Amino acid sequence: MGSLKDLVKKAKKGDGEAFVSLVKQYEDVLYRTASRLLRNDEDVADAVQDAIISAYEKLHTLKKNEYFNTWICKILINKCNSMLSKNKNLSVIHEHLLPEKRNDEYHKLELEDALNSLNEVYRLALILYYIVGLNVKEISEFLKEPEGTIKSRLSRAKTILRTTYYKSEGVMACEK
Amino acid sequence: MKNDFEKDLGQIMNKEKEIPVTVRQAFDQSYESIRAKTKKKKVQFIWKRAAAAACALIATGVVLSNEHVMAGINGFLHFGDKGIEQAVNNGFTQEDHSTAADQNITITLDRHFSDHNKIGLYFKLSFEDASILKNVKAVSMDYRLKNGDGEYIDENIPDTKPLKGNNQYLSSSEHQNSLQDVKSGNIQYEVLATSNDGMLPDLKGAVVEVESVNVFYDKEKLKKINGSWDLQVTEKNKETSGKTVQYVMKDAVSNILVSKAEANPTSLNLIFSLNKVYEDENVIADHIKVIDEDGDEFASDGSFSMDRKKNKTIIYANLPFTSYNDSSKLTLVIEGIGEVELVKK
Repeated sequence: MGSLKDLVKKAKKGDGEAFVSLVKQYEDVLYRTASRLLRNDEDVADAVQDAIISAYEKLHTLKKNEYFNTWICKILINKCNSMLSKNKNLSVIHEHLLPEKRNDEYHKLELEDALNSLNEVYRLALILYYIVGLNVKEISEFLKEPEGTIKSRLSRAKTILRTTYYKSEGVMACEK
Repeated sequence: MKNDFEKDLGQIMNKEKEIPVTVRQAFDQSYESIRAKTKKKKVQFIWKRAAAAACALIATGVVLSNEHVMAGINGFLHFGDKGIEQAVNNGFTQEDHSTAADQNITITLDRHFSDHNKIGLYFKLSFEDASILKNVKAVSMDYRLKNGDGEYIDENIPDTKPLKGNNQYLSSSEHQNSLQDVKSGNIQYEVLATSNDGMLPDLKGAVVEVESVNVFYDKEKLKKINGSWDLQVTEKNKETSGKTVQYVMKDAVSNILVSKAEANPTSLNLIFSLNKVYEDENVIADHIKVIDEDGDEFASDGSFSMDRKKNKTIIYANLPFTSYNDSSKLTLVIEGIGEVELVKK
């Protein structure tokens, strides 16, 4: 198997097998990204399939081969966002969930659940930082938001989770 | 104990999850779809010699305004391709002079050439406001080349716009600015499109639909000028210029089986199979050449496509030997693998 840059180079020239090899190396990240953004496996499947085909068709527009992974992830996130905006009414349940006002709802939640219930804006920042591996500057460029806003979102997201997480533990400890 | 929140968060975000069946199927279906598309194209481009890319880059980076130098540049398509030079020297290019103006930019398709293996397009861009070109690094165009049957042959567009065709013809497409006369606002833009399986369709009735002009400055800054420029491609001398010469194997017993050896005006299109599956393309890249009866060698520039099936490796390549070279026999050599004699059909 060649290096990422070699595989991208081959894929750009029409080598479908090289493209498949590239995506296979990144399957787990793509799945984890989409599954954190979307609510069910069917939507994740649709988004993943759309993103892969779209990336293959538009591969010639990728300017820096070494950024293939980030690039395809961005395509996937855009697909997920597009699906979310089409199904806005389905995601409204957590869209305006401000944890500081609704802490009681988290009391029995584990970190995983708390994460999934987090406001989309905070969740996306965490996904881009922890799963996709972008730094604050790159997230800022991707979301077209100031770096300060991104830093604030990451910090705020962690504060919300931390607060909820330890409260949850406290409750669980009491239950025992 | 949940005493390390940061660690827990990092772990949970990066925890490996088993991919559910529905999503697994989506991945696999995507791969099958891509493989099917690749098979349709019949080509798998494998390796491109760095020197060719470097040559194109150097040409792109050159900014010339000296009149003396300008006068010296009278050639066509400076992609460092000996086969194209041979074709151009033999008058294979066609004059178009098709012009369209929009957004204070006049674009002229000045000349072009095309055969089954290669298409060359030569544009001139004239900016009414030459100040746009101050500190320019390169100029390119978003365009689509559509033939007379309505098929899109080459689409050079960004991912913000959908493709109109299925990208089935081209193995590669190179672009360069051979001349930028910044002071007068004139830019030359050249395109070389290649099909490794030699299946490019006729350009009769073709149109180049230009959708944007892109002006690149230092530090990756870009000025995109959207507009509409439709340029007609002229194919009036096709019957006299489209000469092809076919070659066949003299002796069928060889570890190289040549299924196509067709010399066109710009190049020799070769399709052959090797009796072994080669995983490492570097064994083949830069090792393909033909030698004519006078002993002149015509080596591959490293661009080729490779397919593997039924324990065979199939190679698709264009070599800079042309129908103008007029040789009655050729020897195809793949260094380290073998050679085979070809005779004119």
